[in-house]
Amino acid sequence: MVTTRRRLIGVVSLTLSAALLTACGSSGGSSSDSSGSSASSSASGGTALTLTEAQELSSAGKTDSTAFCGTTPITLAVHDGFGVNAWSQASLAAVRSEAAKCSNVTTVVQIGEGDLQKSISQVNSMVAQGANALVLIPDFGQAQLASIKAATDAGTKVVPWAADPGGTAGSDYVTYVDWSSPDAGTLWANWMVKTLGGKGNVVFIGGPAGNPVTAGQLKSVVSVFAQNPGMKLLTGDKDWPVTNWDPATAQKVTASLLAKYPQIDGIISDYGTDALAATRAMQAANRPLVPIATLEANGLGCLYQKEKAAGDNKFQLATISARNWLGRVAARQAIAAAEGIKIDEPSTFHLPLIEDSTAGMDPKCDSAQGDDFYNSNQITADELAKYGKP
Amino acid sequence: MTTDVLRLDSITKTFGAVTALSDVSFSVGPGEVHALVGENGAGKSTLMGVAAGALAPDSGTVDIGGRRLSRVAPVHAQELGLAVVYQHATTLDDLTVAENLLLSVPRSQRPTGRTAEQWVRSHLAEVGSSARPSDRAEDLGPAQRQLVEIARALALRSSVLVLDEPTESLTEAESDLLFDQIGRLRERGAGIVYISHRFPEVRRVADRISVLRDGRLRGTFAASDVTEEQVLELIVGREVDHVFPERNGSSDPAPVLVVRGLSGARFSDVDLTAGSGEILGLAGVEGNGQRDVLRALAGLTTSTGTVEVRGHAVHVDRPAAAAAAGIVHLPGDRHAEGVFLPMTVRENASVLVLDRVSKLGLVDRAAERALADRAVSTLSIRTAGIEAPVSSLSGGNQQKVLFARSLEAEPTVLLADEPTRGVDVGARVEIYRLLREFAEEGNTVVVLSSDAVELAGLCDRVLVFSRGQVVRELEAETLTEREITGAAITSTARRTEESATTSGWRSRLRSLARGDYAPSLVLALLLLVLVAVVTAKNPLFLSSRNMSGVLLLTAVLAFVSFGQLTTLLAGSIDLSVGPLVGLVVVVMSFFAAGKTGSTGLLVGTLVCVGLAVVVGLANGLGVRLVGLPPVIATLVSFIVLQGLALLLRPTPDGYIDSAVIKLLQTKVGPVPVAMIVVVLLGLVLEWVLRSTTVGRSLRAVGSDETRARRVGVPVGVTIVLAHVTCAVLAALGGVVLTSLIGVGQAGIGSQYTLTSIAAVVLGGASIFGGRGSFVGALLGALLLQTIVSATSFLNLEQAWQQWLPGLLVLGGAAVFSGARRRASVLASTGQE
Repeated sequence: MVTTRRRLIGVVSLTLSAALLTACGSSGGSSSDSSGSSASSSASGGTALTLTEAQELSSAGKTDSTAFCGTTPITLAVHDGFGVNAWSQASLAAVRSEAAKCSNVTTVVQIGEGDLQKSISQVNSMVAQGANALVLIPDFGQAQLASIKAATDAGTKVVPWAADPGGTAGSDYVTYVDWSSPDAGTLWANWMVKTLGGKGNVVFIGGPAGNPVTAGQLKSVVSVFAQNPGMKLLTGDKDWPVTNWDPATAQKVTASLLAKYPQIDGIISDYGTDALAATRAMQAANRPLVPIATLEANGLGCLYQKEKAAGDNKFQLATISARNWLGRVAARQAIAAAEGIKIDEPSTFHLPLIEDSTAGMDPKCDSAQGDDFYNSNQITADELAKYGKP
Repeated sequence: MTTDVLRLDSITKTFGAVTALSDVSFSVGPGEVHALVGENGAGKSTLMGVAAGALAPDSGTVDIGGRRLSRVAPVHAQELGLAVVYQHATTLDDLTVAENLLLSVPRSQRPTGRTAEQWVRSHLAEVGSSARPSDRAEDLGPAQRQLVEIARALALRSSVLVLDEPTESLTEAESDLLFDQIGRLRERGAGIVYISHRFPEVRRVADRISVLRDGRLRGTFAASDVTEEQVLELIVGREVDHVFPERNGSSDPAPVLVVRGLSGARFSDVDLTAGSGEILGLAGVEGNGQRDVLRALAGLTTSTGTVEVRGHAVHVDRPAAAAAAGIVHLPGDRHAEGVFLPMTVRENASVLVLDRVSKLGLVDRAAERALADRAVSTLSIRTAGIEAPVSSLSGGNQQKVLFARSLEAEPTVLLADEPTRGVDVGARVEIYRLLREFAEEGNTVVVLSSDAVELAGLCDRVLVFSRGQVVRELEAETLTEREITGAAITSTARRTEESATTSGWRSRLRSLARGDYAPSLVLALLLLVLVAVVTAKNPLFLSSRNMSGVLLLTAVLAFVSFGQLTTLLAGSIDLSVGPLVGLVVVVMSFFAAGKTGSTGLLVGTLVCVGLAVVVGLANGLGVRLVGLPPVIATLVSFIVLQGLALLLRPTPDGYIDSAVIKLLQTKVGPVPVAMIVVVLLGLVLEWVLRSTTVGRSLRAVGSDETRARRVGVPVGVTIVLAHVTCAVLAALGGVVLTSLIGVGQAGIGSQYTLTSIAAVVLGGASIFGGRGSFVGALLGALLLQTIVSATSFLNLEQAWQQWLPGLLVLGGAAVFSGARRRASVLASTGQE
């Protein structure tokens, strides 16, 4: 439920600016040299930091450079419209650990706990306190755009990430940092075709009915399968069984799919925790586990390793990063903008598969962590403990 | 002779198969006091219900002041000039004395402005009440309440006044005051119907006396022409039926039950003893403490004093403790306190002794069945079998199941509360026999009954109660129906004089704490402290940017809270305000998006208000017409409105015109105009609430629907209106919120449901209706919004953002309900 809300809100808002997003995505967010304020003290003229997408992907956005920090003391405000689950904690830790590299940056953190009115008020207050930069996850999407614009008008450098507020990068805010979600569908579908040898029955389960993220991913899956006549999408090309990104619902939905279809060869799920719930439904129905393509989740990795140790070689797994590490990128963009420093790194990321059991990239399991831990972020347990809570 | 001010002709009234009144005629002339006497259930209250337009007679006519009562409506009777002072005062607890008086007077007679206070004072003085106009009715003792009630009736300048047991809760001095008042009324030419059980009083005030028995008029006499004996004869009038078991007269002198100095809510210093083999009866006019004594012995209510069973001291503080000591209660209200209707005879029979028929928490079916079989055969319970649900049994057999259940607990003392109520004659005989047999086994039975015949026939001894004390003990020769009724009716016992009201600063402080503005004062104080602390740490807190941000959000919340308060005042609640706010934002995105300017804003606002009226009507009618609990009715709206928003805007769209946003966020200095509007609106609403009929009606309905209806408030209309007002106010909040959201997006706003309730409760509103203040709600909203901003400025831990308002609401509610409870306890025990 909790997860549902944050993701639902964040994601429903994608539609309007989907086109816009791709447009600004390729050229990246190099729009931060405009402000003309206390212009660049250290890196006058040149670009202080340059990172390619490939570099970022390989290091989960980590860099040793502190060139983005500048020297002017500033306040960085960090906000999350939801902010209480494991996903939110990893996100906070990514942003704050990056900001902590800059001794001249003071960080203030607030979370909205799923309350729009509170989120607007908190963002207002942080800007009123004189925050120079603001990194936020606008979970309420476009409903937060007005307050983001107001913050920008007040001179705060705003970088929304992970949930799209709509609006225009460069004028309403500095830049918007996120992944390219339709890519995911293509990756999952291609992997499934390969893993099933071009022939098999696949089900696709996803978030709330009609949400643009899942819709975009399904579209990609359908177009890949269209070129592979042996692949059959049992759940149809137009819509999907709705999990609402709630594991309990996902388990129920999968159970009924298992009852309906005696032969299911693969599952594509747009959320790792849902995929884990789907495996529980299969085990409960005494059905063998089948290949799954989804987002990463520590619990899935652990299940994979357990199954592998038990000699099950039919359960294969491919995942994409949970992407909390993008918070590092967002923090750098916001701080650099406030410091008047030019940095060159992408804002929209085409995330690859990070785990692929068929290609020797075995899913990771950190048994010290919970099912909701995301290994790809390269966030240590210490960082999570120190920065993960508001 | 001049025209009668009240004339009832050949009134017949039946309730199902029961004939409550049969061809009764009754009249009162101007300047006459006509007493109506009779036993419990004789039909007195029914007759007056018909006269007051509260009950429709099957046949017969009512004329008041020479005019026919043409429709069954209390208001109509009131208009014709009949006022009733009910036995249980109908003052509205949450309103002040002045408001109670003013509310009951028709608009045409109502004094206005400054004269009102004088008018109230003079009316209170007229009945000798010492209550202050500003006192809250709930804080008055029963006597003062009664006097206010009489003042209210007098204020109506009625030609007929019905006084129903008016001295029941009065002390002697107060009763005298009342009789003086009656004398004055008589001189003024008013007709008075005086209903009472107390013959001495009747003798003192009445010109004529009418006796009702079993729904028939047994005679009307000039008070000077009849003796007490004659009247008693008529009141009782029955032959004692020969249905009672023989008394063997061999009760053991060693007492089984000894009670000393038992005092409780409606009785004081009661002593009683009952021996082995004895059936002791408790008699008295209903409400004189006898039932309360029985319930106290059963551990159902709290009491002080000592209770001994077979020489052992017993603490009857809980039913289980009483039962453990051998005192078992046989409930009088079978359905409310006795049997579990849907459960079987077997389950009902064993429920008190489950520990005996079960092992390790598992019921041993065989043992339980044996127990039930035994009960059915020994008590000859007529049932289809022990597996039949108790609801399928007749009243008498249900009573026997209860009896069986009580006997299985092997009591020493059986407290039987109205053991034969609603039981047919045949079953009665068996129940009497069973009670007698049980006593003869060496136990004691205490029987409470309102039927004097039953007590006279069944009991060895009867104690007659009046005003919370035993006034007479009857046995052997004196134990007759007539003696019982006589003792109850002719008692001159008086309630002990009330202790002087606690005076001085403590009472003033307490009355302040119970006042409507106490929470507002506290909130204002908290706000000042909070602002001072945060500003000291970070002066930017009072920067115009932060202030206008906080105040704009406060304006939204205040609008919604005003709405919520309106429904709470009426005793309802609206959970759908949150989604309505969200839906308004969505609707606005269709009218005020693009380049629509002020026209878009205006049209959008009008459409939203229209929508709100529909939602409010749906909520209100759902509550009033369909009869849904408000929580359910508005929860349905909650879901429907959320769905509607999603339907209209499946994905966010419709960016609000920036001109509209600017307009809505217009500021004077740092203060948004929306906030100024909401403050002014709050003050106006507060004035409406305190000083207009609409406001008083609202609080009257929330305070007590039945009483509000009796004084002529249109309850249904008021509640529907409250819901409509609520929705419209919430919609206005939504319009302001539109400027903060800036786009049509579904799924927002639902937080306002709970936040608005929190703001209103912080402001001192009662969740049970009847009281609250718009000023308080405004301050509550401001405080909640300030806390959100303050925690950010103070960099407090996130948890405090929840804890702070949570603790405040809890603290506020606790203080508030504490003060309220204390007041009501004092009022009901008559000690203040």
